[in-house]
Amino acid sequence: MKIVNRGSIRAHSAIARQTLRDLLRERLLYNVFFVALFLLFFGYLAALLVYGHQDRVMLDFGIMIDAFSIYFVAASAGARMLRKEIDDRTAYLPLSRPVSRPCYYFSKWCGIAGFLGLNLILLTAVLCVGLQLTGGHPTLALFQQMILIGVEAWIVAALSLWLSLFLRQGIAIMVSLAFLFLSHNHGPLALINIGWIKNALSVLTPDGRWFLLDTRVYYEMPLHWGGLAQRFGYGLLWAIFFILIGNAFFYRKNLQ
Amino acid sequence: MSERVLPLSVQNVSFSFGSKPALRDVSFDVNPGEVFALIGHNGAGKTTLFHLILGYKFARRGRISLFGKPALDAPSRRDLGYVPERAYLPMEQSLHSYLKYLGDLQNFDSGELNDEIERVASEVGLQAVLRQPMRSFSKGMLQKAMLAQALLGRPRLMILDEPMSGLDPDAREQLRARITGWKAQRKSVLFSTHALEDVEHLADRVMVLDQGVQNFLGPKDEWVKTVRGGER
Repeated sequence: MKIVNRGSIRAHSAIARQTLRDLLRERLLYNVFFVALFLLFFGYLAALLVYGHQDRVMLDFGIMIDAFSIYFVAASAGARMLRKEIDDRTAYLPLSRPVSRPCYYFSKWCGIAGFLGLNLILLTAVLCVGLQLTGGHPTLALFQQMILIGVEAWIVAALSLWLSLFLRQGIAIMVSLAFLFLSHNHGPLALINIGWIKNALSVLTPDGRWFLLDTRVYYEMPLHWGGLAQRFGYGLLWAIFFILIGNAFFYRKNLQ
Repeated sequence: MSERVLPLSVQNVSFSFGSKPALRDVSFDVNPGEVFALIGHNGAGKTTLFHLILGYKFARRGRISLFGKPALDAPSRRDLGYVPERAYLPMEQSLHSYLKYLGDLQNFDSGELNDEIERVASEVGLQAVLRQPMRSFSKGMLQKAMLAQALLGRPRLMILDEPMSGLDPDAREQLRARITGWKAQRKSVLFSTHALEDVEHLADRVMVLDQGVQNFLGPKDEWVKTVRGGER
């Protein structure tokens, strides 16, 4: 049988696609998605109760709901995908092929990242419909915000994928979300004025403020492309950092 | 590749689960075209040894090579077919899409991959159900599916973990005939078993593991004499 291009790009893409397919079959993730849709609808109803600036209420609700649901999906997908394959041993046959563990691990994350991207596109589309219905309109700043939420979800997925190698699924999800909470509280926690906490936070967690555009979204003040690229790159570096750590663990892990 | 390159070489391999030793200083080779039987009770270390060969676990000491290359190098597994003891398959998926996935991992030419999938499916008699989800398969069909995935790409070394367990007499006979056929094609086979008659029918050489210790390594006839002698 002829073997083509010795590189592993085809293997990478096959594993990523397989992961994406597996995720599309997961009921839990659909449930989260439908809960998010329901909450967006609830946000729409809440906006209707407000006199004036209904679109801002929708925007506020929408971004918050989209962000929370995508973070939760990221944490659960990361905690579940590899762990499940190790536990039920379906990872055995792919790993008996000429596929390196780093390739397998990284491609798993790519599949999850693709799924999160799809999820985010759908939720953003629903939010845009909600905005139209409340008299607003989607803006460039909103799309930039959603991109940054997506990047942050990639970090959460990479972290939870790593944690799932040695923690139970539920704990991996909780720790990942706690990490996210800490990263969004660099500001308030810094007020504690204890040097080592500040230092530890700044070293161990990304600064969540990089991923929130806050008033820029409401006042339609998009970032310059350079600024967006900088924040995107910052998030990607953190995701890569966790992928590398996870890979180091997976590389020499004895499977059951 | 040269016939002189050993498909599998295991040298002084030791492994332990925590402080409990599972394999102690195990060494053997599998030659081209040889059928090699690994015998031992449950917990003797047979599956652990397979896992070390396949890179699922890492030996604490020793060296394992596949076709002259370290077994931990992913490309050395290109000519390897593995059938685990149980059907570790994604049941929601069809056999066709799963074989396609595995074929992609082996970097097969995509034009030829479909033909190869048809070939292995017809070889194990599953071509009619190729596009059905594997959850609808019977136990026998799942075992055939496991065999089909191992045959993908015509590997030169087959590793079979207790392949006869749970098979009815007909299926057992078919598998024996298949292993004999592979031997005729100069493929090497390493299989584990509890059944003495399988060893007598199939193996060229035998290794006996007892609680992780290599108790016997030699030609089948010698082992048969030892066992028969012990029975008398």
